[in-house]
Amino acid sequence: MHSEADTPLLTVENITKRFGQLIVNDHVSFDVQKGHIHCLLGENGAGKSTLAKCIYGASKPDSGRIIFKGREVSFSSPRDAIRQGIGMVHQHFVLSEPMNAVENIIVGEESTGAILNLQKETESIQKLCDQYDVTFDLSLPISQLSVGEQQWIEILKALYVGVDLLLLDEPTAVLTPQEVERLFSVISKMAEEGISVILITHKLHEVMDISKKVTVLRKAKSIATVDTKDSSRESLAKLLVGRDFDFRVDKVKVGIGKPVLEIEELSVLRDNLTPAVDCVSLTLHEGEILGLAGVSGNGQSELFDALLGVRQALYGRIRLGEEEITNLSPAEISNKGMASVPQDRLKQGLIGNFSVKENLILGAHGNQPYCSGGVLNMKAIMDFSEEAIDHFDIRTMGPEQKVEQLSGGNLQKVILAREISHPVKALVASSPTRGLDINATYYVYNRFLELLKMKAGILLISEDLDEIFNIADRIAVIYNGCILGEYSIEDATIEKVGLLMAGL
Amino acid sequence: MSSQFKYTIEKRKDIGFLLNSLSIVIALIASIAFAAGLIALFGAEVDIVLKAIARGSFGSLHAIIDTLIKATPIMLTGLATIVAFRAKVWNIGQEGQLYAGSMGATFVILTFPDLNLPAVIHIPLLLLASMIGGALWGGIPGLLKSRYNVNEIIVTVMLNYVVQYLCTFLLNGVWQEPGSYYYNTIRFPQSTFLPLLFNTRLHLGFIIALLAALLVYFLIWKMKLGFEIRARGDNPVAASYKGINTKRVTLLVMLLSGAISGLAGGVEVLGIHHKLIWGFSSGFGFTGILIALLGRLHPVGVIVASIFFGALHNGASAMQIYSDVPRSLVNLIMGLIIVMLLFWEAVFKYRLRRVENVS
Repeated sequence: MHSEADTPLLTVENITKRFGQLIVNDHVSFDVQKGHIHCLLGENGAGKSTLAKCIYGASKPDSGRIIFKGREVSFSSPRDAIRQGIGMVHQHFVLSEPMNAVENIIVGEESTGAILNLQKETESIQKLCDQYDVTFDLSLPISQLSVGEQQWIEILKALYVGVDLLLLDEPTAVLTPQEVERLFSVISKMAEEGISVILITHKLHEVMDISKKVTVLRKAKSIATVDTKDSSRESLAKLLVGRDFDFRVDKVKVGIGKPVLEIEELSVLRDNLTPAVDCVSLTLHEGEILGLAGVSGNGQSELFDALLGVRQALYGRIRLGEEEITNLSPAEISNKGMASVPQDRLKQGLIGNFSVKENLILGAHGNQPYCSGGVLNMKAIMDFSEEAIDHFDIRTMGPEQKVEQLSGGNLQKVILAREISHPVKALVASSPTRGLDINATYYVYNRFLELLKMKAGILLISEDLDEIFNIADRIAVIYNGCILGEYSIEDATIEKVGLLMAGL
Repeated sequence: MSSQFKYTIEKRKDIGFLLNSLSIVIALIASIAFAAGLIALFGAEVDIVLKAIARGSFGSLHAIIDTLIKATPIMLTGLATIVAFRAKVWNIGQEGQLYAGSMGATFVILTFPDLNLPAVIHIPLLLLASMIGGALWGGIPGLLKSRYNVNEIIVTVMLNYVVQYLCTFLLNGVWQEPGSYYYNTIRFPQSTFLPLLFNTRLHLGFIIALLAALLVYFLIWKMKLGFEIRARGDNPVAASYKGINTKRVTLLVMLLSGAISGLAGGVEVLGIHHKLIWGFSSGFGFTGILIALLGRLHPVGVIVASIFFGALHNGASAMQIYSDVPRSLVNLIMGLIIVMLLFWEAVFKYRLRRVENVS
């Protein structure tokens, strides 16, 4: 006989979900106990988010059972799931921008009745805030709140409805280190009060920091569920990748040389003509990776665009090597040796409907030997792409395959092959490993290091501090379009950088 | 353990060549069947009507030649559409650009009546003039789009009216044949007539259209500009990040598309009418857009589709003669084909999948 304490709050049994030929969840099973923080650990594409959606009723599994509070359930919509006590905070928040926190929290809540008593609701939400040590102005419209604060609203919404199980999908992706700490302390408090939390993540240290148990997903399957205290980063990584994994990057000091990319007092406007980049000065040297840390939306993408010539610089100067490139055309800048890895691969980096071959020469398509007299040289293009596919280990059915059919890692390989097959002075990379699995991530790092040996410099724009601390030589922090600080990597600490990222 | 099945509807990743072709065939058959139903509904005998259409379109050498003549201008406007739509520049102004082209050729003829050039020089000169006329008329919306991001659909549609009224104005005034009651110019000199082929009414314009199809194919898939046209069409953001000047491409595309439509106008006037006549185009420009869509924006598709539409047109004339069914039925069929095509295309984007439910 099971005692009350042993009965899991949630049992997921043999959940299978397919999209076309693709199996996203393959007989996934695990239990979540009451009051536990349970991590779902897996690389991108391992099926974490789909699994969460099945539990939350946003998606229906093809087969398998979900048992919640001892009863088999089959939710036809998230509304059903919420009624039964399951809440979810999505990776992309679903809030109504012009409304304030209180209104967003009570929207959809039926117990309020036809006539709203906002005063009463505000008081009860304030009480929840006090209980969990959350402080922010409930009366402000969403658009004036920070991303971290918006996340509180999503969590408060779940607490307000009174959930027994809360799913959090990659909640730390958009937060500064300090905000993550606060989030984790609230989650811990929730667990103490008997709420179970499923935390979806691909970051090993988060699992180690906070969870009681962890279920590792790999290639759509649940590989193992283990107690966190019995495991280590290394053992989890092994489960995650399926083999021993070496975390180190063979970083050889190549010796930092003369400046390759100099940005002097650069100011750039957003589309709505408000300043996005405000008097930024940075210098990148040969053989150096300069990490630019910051919460997204603080001017990084506008800086990226200005460096490539896609966006006009309002003031200031940009020099690449010996030459001034301020406000030259993207084609001229790229021909002078600027390479780029944009944040959104399929939107900014590649043409999805084009073949691998065509994407590999995009940008160089007008240069010798790929083109002469306005006519494309198909043989030269084919030769180059076969070589690039081979050299960069691009997994494809051939040079004619459309890139939109490739996986994220292979998309990034196509971009890297295109960008660094030609002489490069500086590479500007924006979140180059976002959405990639561990293998692809280290592939990218190793290519970067090879590039350094060839005396190029790399400006690494990333929200992922682990990444910057892992491979950068120096770190600069951007906040609200300004550089708030620059450290060599030896002098930088997560705490210092985190404070600057928050603008403190 | 029993297994049961259920079905789900899901989106396909790629339609593929086979289903793509199938959707076209089904659309054609379905719309002709629908039209046959309508004919029966109006009390005409379906088999007589269909036979008349077949006889009028491909029933004799004369019919075939006529079909090819009808196919010529719409093949060219269809090609013009390919160039623009591949870049996702929505040129709806083929009709106006075709008029501008015919007016370009007419302008040269009427302004320099005493050139006395041999046909080998005179004709290319006039075709060039018609291309320039069309390019100018396409270039206006092209410039507005690339410079000021003015919606090209609205501008091209409105310019269709402007040029047609301009043409009416000229044909009612300085260009009108002296003493004529009708809106047309004098008959052009012999040296401007397009040569006829194989001792038939088929004129050089048909060969020009086929040649244009070849050139458009080469442009789109073998040339740098074509690469940039397709890049702009598929992902203008990535294209501009990689140094493609998408505004320049927009302008070039409109110039080129206009030039090809203008050529259609020149060929029609020099090959058939030998003078500029008010209303000589029965919507060749708009038909060209339908043909390009039916031909899936591919030159070979456009060749096939334009011959099909030419046949339909001639068949309709025969139908009217033999069976009293009005020829406007053809317009109905054309409309139906497009609707059916879009419908089946949407349907084929999805498929049924059987999922196993093990319980």
